[in-house]
Amino acid sequence: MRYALRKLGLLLLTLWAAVTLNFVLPRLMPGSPADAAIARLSQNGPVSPAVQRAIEVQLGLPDGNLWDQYVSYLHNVLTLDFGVSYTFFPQQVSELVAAALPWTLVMVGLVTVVAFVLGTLIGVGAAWRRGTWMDSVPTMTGSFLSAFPYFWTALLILFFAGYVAGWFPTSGAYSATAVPTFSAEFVGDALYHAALPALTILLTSLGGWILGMRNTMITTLGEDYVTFAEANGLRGRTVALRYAARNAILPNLTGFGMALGGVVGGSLLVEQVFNYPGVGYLLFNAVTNQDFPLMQALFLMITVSVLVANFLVEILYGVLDPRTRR
Amino acid sequence: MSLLQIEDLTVVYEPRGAQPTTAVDRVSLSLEQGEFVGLVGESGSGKSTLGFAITRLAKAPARIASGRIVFDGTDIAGMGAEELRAQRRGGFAMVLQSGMNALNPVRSVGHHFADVFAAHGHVPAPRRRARAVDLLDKVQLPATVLDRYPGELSGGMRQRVSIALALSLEPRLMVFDEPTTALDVLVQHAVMDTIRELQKAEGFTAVLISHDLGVVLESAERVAVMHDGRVVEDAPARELYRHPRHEYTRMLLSHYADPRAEVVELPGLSSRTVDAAGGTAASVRGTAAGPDAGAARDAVVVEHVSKVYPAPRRGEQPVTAVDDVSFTLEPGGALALVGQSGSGKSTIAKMLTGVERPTSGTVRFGDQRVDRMRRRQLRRLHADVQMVFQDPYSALNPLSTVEYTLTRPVENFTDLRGEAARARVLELLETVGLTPVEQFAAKLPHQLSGGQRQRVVIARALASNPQVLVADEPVSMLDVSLRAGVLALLQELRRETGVSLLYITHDLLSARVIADQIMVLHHGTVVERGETVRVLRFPEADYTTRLLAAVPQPARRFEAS
Amino acid sequence: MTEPTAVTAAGTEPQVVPGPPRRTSRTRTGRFFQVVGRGFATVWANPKARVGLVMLGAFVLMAVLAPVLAPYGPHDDSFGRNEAGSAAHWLGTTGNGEDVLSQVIYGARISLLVGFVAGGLSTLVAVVIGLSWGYLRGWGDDVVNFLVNLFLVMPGLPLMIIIAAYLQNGGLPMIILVVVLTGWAWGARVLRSQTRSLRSRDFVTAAVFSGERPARVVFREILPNMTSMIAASFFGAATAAILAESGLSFLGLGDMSTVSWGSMIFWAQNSMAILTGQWVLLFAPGLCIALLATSMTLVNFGVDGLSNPRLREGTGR
Repeated sequence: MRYALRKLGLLLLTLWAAVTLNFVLPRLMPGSPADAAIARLSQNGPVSPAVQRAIEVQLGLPDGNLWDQYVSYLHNVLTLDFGVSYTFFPQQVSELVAAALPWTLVMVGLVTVVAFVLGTLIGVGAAWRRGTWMDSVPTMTGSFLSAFPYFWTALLILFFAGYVAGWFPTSGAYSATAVPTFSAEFVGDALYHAALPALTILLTSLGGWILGMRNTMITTLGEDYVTFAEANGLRGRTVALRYAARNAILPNLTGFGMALGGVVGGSLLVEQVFNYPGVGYLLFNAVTNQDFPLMQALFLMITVSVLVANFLVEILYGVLDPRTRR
Repeated sequence: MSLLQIEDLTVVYEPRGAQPTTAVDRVSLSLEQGEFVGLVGESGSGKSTLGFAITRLAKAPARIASGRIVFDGTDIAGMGAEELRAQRRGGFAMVLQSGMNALNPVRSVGHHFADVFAAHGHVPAPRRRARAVDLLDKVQLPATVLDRYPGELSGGMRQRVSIALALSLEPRLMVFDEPTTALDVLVQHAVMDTIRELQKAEGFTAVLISHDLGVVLESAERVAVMHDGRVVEDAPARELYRHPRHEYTRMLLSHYADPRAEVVELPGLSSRTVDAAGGTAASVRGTAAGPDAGAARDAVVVEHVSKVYPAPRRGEQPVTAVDDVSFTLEPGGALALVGQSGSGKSTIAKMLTGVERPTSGTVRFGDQRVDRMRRRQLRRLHADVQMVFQDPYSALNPLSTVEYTLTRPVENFTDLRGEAARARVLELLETVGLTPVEQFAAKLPHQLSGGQRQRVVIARALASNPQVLVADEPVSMLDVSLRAGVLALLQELRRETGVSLLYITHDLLSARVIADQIMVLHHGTVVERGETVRVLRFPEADYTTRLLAAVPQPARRFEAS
Repeated sequence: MTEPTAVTAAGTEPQVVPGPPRRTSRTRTGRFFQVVGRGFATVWANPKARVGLVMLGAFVLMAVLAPVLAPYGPHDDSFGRNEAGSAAHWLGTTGNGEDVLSQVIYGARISLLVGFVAGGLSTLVAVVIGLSWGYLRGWGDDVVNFLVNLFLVMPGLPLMIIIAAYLQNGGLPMIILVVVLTGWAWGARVLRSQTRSLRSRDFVTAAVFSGERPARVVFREILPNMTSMIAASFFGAATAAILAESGLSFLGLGDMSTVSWGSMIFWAQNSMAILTGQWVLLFAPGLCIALLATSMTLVNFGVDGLSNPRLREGTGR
């Protein structure tokens, strides 16, 4: 319990740091993002004082009162008020993010978990059958695949499975004719559309988990408790899973938490390639259009999601390791 | 028919990219039902390799090159994986060196038992818990241990749990590989007692692998001595003790003595130094007729020193490592601090050298307050107070040559530079007996043996002509046969340079031969102090008596009866 | 000296015969090159790493000799547009009428430059922070720990994207800066824990007792013992930097005036290369990125072997 509380405290602290970083960044930049934003907005018509104030709070004007801005900014963040999008004027940023976030969370989240579980299992097998083809084939393929840039794997898959073979749709999250409801038909359609981006993320991230698990498992296989379990005549499966793998999973779980950010980053590029209407696609739109409010909100949401996921991983670690319970 | 028949066994190590070495060389040995056999050898003798081979746990890069191991009439090399696994019950079992890591840290003790019972199905499910409790009882552990995780148990308890687990297999042959090496002296003693009693009660055949001939002679009926992969002598314990035939066995035996005896002699330590143990610090100083270099002028005075470490975890008590200890190390004197791990002896060494600050009390060296020194002053202090470390394998930077290691303190603490500094380095090597000096100066640590490394460590400590040497267990990591050499060197240095020596150890025998004065520490407090000879021969504190009783004593077993 | 010669003569001590092989050089630079040479030999001995080194060497040659190797200049747009492969243009031409092969060859320069410079700089930051954080105990420990963890869990690419977006057209230095900023934390953490474990070794305490100053203890005693870890974290950081650069360029956030593999794919995507059947435009630069990253991963297989030297020989029982 103390462990969980401590981790929760750290999560809150990290969240605060991320929010603050988001506040500080535009103010650190040379030139003035705020000026650029006002110039950009005035193309849509005259800029009202209220909007100007909102921009000042978000991006900072050189002569403003920092503390004042910071307090208003924190207030805005807590009430999820990120202002108006420039690109999709006059839509609220929060609405846009809310529409995009579920797609990414479900697709990327599910695939990442599946990839980790699958990679870990393959890694266990590779370490247990060290030196055989069951080891060399997955390790070599894995390390090769994980060296691929996400967007390039995405393009390859898009080209071959999408255009050449035509098995799967090449863009979007659901058919233009489908009505977004929780019907079996719609869910099937969504899964069909998610297949290629999901496959990309799976293939590219799998190698890392295989290699990581294989290496830590080889270390634990050399531990005394494994030799002793063998000397006591435990069955091979018990030794491999409950003794070697059960201990090897712990450092790997930490690695999983650390690598989450990278996977999420990569999947943003994948969304861009497949025109998948998630956070990455939206972020790319925001960036090309210099839509600072949208950009800020998206970055914050991505960071918060990764931090929360990381927190959940740490809690899982605490459950799995009796040494944290003391 | 013998229970286990080893015929002409050769085991080689074939590491990738390195020279293959023969670890076990044409060994033949047979074990009878119910025998207690000791297997003794120093590091690299191949004893553990042999132990792993006979339980079929040897793994690459070790490979059985030739020979047969026949257990109860079956060649174990011919067993299939499942057959081998099944016969681990009622066949051969193994207790590993230092039970510390032999238990899975994420499984409770109860689960460990359950795993074994499930694997062999020899205890019906409803009776499993009762059987586990029963087994724990045999190794003198309470039933509550079942719900604990290995991390919550002490080293001795963990080793007892692994013995109970091995016992749950109802083995006919049990191999103990250094079962007590990593444990404290008193715990070692108790665990060995348990092993002996179990062997008598359960009647299994036991093989005790150990580097310590003393421990083996106390327990085993028969002893096989291994050296360089071969069994050089195999005889009943009593006979081996009384009439060792092989030169190597005689050499090993010569390093055992009773610290309580009137006269203690170890090879290489001249009888004069042993006599000197009867003298006082003053008389030792009187014999320090050597040159002026390094002769101690200042005393180390420790007054009412305590050290309290903050609680390791919130909600627990702070740890008092040292509790109100006072003593004086006279110039040229030799004081031994003895005690088990956790007795505070190493913490005292750290406070003496300024590595740690005492929570209260004072440490003075001459007229300087060591406990108040800042970094710059500490640097100056280290010209006078030097340290000899415990582990020669970690005390030398693996990437630095001996010459570099020795040149640094010479340049930092003396005015010697260039050729003069080099001459001093070679002189130091000469002093510690590493000749030819030119060749040793150019070596890297991995090209040296353990004993040679420890000599380099001592040479480094001498580089600044210190007044005080603090030696923290300087021989505990060395093979028995090398210990006397390093002890003799320390003794020699005292005589020639008049340096004061604080000798920290858990080994009463070495304390007896090297120190004039002794302090016995227990839980951070001094339980007894005085002249070494008097304290060890006529101990007054109960704790000292227990420590003395735990020293392996083959003499007691064979000569009392 | 009354040496207990009888004891050692009994032959219990594995005497190391002083012999001619492997002379240790006296001068410090000599020793340095010996260590580097031996390290290289160890890496080379690993078959996977050997393949990686050969591949990496080929890319370096390609970058250095680009003006010689490339048939045309990278910005020469005097050719027909969207041409398929031919004898004059092996890989065809781009939508702007540039030679694809020449661009691929010149693109190696940007990737290697970013990889080595950004990888080197983030390793440098990691070494400085990791070592001092590991060696100095007490103050600031929790704060540094928190900061490093923050940078570790913070998703790097999105951070890069928004920084790059704020700094419109910062060019290559901007990319390098962003990559370093988001890439140092992992190395710092690994090196910290290694420093911690070395610090507790007696030879470090012994160096203090030999009168060495803290800086010398850290850089002369501890640092050389982490060479392999530093090399590993360099190659890791360089790989990450190459992938990050290509990702940013692919999004059009890099320096679009230079030819890099990432920007080639960006332009190819913009000109709908997939639909026009010019998949070589996407395939060739992407394959180069993948191969370069793979080569570094392979080299690291050998570097990992370095961190397990035979320094511990003789400790076994």
